[in-house]
Amino acid sequence: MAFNLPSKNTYIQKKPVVQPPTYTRPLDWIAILAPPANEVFYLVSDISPIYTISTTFTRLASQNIYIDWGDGVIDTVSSLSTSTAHTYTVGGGTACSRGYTTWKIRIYADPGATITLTKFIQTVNYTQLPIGLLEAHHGDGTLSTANSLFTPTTVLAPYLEYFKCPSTMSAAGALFFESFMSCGSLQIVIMPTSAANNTSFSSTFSRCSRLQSIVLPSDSILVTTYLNTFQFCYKLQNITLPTSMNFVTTMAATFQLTQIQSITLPPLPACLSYATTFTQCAYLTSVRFTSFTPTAQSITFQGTFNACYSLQDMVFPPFANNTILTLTTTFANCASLAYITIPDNILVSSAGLNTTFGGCSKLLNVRLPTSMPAVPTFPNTFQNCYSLQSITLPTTVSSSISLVGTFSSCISLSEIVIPESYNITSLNSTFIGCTTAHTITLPSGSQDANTSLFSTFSNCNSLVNLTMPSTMISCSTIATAFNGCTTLQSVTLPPIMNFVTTAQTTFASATNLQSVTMPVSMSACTNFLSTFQLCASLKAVTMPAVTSPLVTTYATCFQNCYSINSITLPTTQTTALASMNAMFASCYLIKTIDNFDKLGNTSALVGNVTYIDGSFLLGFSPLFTTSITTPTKWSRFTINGSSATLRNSITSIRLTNTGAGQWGGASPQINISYTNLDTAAINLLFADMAAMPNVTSKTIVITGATGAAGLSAANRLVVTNKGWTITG
Amino acid sequence: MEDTAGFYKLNEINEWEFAPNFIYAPTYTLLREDKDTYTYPIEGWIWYDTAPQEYIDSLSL
Repeated sequence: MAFNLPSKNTYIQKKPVVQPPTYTRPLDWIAILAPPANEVFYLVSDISPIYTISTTFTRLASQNIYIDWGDGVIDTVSSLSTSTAHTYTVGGGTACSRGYTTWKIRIYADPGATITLTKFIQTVNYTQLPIGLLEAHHGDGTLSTANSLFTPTTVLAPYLEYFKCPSTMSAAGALFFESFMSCGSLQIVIMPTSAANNTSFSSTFSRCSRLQSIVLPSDSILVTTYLNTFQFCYKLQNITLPTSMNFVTTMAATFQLTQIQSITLPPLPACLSYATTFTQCAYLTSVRFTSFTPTAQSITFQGTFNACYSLQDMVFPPFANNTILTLTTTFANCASLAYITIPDNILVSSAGLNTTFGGCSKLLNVRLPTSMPAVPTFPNTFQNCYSLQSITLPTTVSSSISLVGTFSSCISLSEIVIPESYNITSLNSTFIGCTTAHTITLPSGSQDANTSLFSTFSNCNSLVNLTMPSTMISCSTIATAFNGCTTLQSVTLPPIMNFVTTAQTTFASATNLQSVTMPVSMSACTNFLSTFQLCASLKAVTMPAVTSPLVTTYATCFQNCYSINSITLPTTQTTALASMNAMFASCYLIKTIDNFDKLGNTSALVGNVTYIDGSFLLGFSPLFTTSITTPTKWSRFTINGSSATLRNSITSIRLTNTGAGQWGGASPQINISYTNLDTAAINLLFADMAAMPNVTSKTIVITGATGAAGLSAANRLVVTNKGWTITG
Repeated sequence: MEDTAGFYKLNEINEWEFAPNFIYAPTYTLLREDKDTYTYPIEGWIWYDTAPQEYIDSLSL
């Protein structure tokens, strides 16, 4: 069997070849010549047999205009402004190869009457079937305005392929507002050569998804808006703009999702919005602005080039001093852009640099202004800038600054310096995935406004040493802060972090971590899930002396800390602890665990207290020649070796809580197999169990325990009489 | 070769329990030396001369 493997390059978007628009008119459509002045021709089909045409005309005396529907019916229109409906017989027109039949409509006038506007309308509502209009040919004078000719809320013409405007449209005001919106089959639009008094191209061709080329009237220089003009014209490649755009105030979304490849815009002295102007122009390689407003204004570039994957050449011309720029997502996902300079004489708006360069995977260098006094946030500013090798942040920012995700996945940044002057409000994910950053410098003093260390340095795989700010009293989370920092050797956290509620996986997989200084007090922290999991080089840990009494989990907290020999647990007596599952699992070199008795609720009362799952609590530990007394209630308790040779050396286990309701976990509820508990120690444990209420179908495993063989029948009866099963 | 003979039982959460030598329950006793005298299963316990494959498989999960 043969397989055709896909080419390695099939995922690369190929640029379209710019060609003149091709429009092949079906040969079997009724021939229509260019209409004379004062006449309009339409080609319609029986895709929809009902049509209503609105007409407006002027006259010298009592002249009329006429609608020749092409099927033998001619309506005389004597009202100056009215609408005329007509219903065709389906199949009654001229057949064509597309499966429908067609008619040519001719609208003409008596001498002395002048047609000023004809257009199709919906007489019911826009939810009725769209009209089957195929072509529209307007003779001179017959279209005073093209506003809202075809829109989802006026009339839908999804089959319209060709539209010719009169050669001149001289009326003043907005003439092309939403003219051809959503004409999904429209391929050719012959715009007037002159529309000197037109003021709007707002949404004119929006969603004309088959339009390839357009020439706007060269004298439409009074236009103030190009809002959404060509938005979603997925095939549009060639655009000829008017010679001047001096009055344009917005270019928002003008070219969004078109196929243009390069463009030079004339001076835009009045334009204040370039929001999403070129968003998702995937083939756009070059944009040239000639000049911006000559006076200081607020100009938005929000999302202007977002997802212009091919953009390589974009240089801002000079801005007036102190022009305020909104730069959120401006260059996001410009995956071909290598260099960007933000002029030094501008001010960045308070919206900050949100994802401004996010996803610029080939960006090598960015030059930022040295001062951004209004900016309070750099969220995801350089996220996924995989090639960025250096960056200098502005020395002046707002009175406080959020750095959420600022450098996330900047895998080529080797050194990152946060200016000493910054008053940071968040370090959430700031450096996550900066895999080659060997030096990260934070401000050295207090950073008491910082609320988050969540994933701050996660997977910084080249980081060795790190100096944290001296205090961070407002920080509420250190979860995953150093997760996966495989080269990190030493960390010192501030001494008081009483707003931190979670330390989940804070140092997990920091496999080279040798020294960690935890805060002395973390009085709000309730979660130590996997905090030090797989800190394989760590030898000793002193947990915060003070934690919340409502800690709920230490599950896998020290699991796979293969080198650890000393753990000092908090002195705070916990009351809500529910899981210590695998808390010390695979701590093969553990010698001492201090304050074990502080874990769990000491109450013997049934009810609003938790029962701790201590499954796989501690395994093979040959150096753990100690004893444990725990006053809390358990659902499962497992401290055991693995085999006769892989023993746990613990010598005494005392379970002193006599409360009811314990041992709700799966069998075996207690496992002390392959421990060094001698017969006397096992009998003491049996006595503790016997002091508890009777149980049903609960098991204790004593396989390989040192004293198992020495138990007498009487010894065993102590617990079997209470409902326990002993296996060994 | 490791001696894996013993009493095996699949508990309520489909985890295997293993007792190589004895089971002392409130209402019955199973001893390795008397393994051939019992009619299995007894309270879910079954004697195997070598560990059942399902048990071995469970260890590798």
